[in-house]
Amino acid sequence: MMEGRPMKFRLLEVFGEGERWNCEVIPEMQREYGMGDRYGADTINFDIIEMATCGFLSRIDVKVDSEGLYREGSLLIRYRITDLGRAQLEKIGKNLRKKGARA
Amino acid sequence: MGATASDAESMRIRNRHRKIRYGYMMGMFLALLWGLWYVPGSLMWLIDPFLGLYESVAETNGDTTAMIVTAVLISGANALMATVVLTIWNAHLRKFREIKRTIVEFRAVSKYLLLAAVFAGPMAVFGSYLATGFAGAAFSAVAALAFPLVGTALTARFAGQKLSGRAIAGIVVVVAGCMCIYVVGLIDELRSGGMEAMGYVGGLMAIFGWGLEGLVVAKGMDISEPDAAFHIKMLSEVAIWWIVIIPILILAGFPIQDYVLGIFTDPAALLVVTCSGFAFGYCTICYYKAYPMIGAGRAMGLSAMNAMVAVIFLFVLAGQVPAWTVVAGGALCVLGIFLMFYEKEENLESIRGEQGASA
Repeated sequence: MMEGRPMKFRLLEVFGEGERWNCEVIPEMQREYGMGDRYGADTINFDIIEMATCGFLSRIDVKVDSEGLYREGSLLIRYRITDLGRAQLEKIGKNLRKKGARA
Repeated sequence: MGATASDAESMRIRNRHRKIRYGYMMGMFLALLWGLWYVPGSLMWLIDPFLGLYESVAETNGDTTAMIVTAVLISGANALMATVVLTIWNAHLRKFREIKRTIVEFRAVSKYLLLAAVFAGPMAVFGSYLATGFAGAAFSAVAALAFPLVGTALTARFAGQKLSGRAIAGIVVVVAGCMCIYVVGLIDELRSGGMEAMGYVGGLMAIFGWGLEGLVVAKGMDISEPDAAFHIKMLSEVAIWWIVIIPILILAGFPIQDYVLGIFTDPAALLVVTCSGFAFGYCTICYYKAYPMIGAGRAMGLSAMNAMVAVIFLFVLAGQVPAWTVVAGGALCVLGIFLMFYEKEENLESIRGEQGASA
């Protein structure tokens, strides 16, 4: 439902489908949004961090990336959507622009 | 291999510390740039074409109307130039596609950014000019500085952002310190008996305009990227000034059209407006980046420091020696910031206090 919509809409939807590691979600989003380079990955990671700070995602596990899944030596975080995040996702869902009307 | 769970935990704490420091740095830069903005911001009143417009309207409609009409052109020019700066910034950051994706989702997100532009632009800016015109500059400044308190209360009530007692105390102390700067001027204005009711209306418009901007921005920023969000807010503001308000004033018979071209052809005006746009544009960037990291209340509290920065710049650049109230105000600001900065970092894990339970 959120494909091609603003990045944080889509991220809420993806985390709404189940717990995920950031290193799994980032490459998926990079492909979807055509942001394949390192800068694109950092941008998406930062969006996820902001959403966690906003209280929409909660951290359930952390580990150091020793296999280069995202970037060797960086911190990998597993997130779960919070009740607040789910309520936000629902609210966005009700207010989405109709697909057919898209420019 | 070999990284243990405790390595990961200590790395997480380091990352959290970096993130919070980044949010506070953005808040400090916001205050610095806002304070700096007052230099071109006040210069604009003194140079053509703005001065020419002021004089021409003053002749026919009086000083107060002239001030309001000139304020509209200055605000419009400032918003336009700030948007040009943001466009270059976002072209570099490759955010245009995200901006487009965000703009079209009007009901879900961009309506908040349009509302933010209405509250910040015509309501708050116009209100603060009314306050200046009908009550006095010190009253206007004190009114403008009260907005973090209103904004913090609104975001706590309507956007669910949580603040510790310590953070609230810090915000109150910073705001009180900044107001202290204007206390002598305010007492003089009150004593003079020249305050008019419109001045109080203007003051309230400024307080609630910026406070409400804080609230709607907090709601919009939850689900949008800061770079895209502030660009959309500034685009909306440009539209409000140049498509709605300036044409209405021209239709009402004010000769603004004769002076618009001068902004771009007069080298001095262009230089000052460009400086103003740069300061304002980057100030907005810092504001919106601080939001998701440290929350609306802390960002607004830090932004009140612009009054202190303005005093310092005026001291350095124009040699205006600050009074003892300014020194006292400055000391309070520093104390308030220490109060905010040295609260437990766990409190800032999430600006809504969500993470704690699961950590």
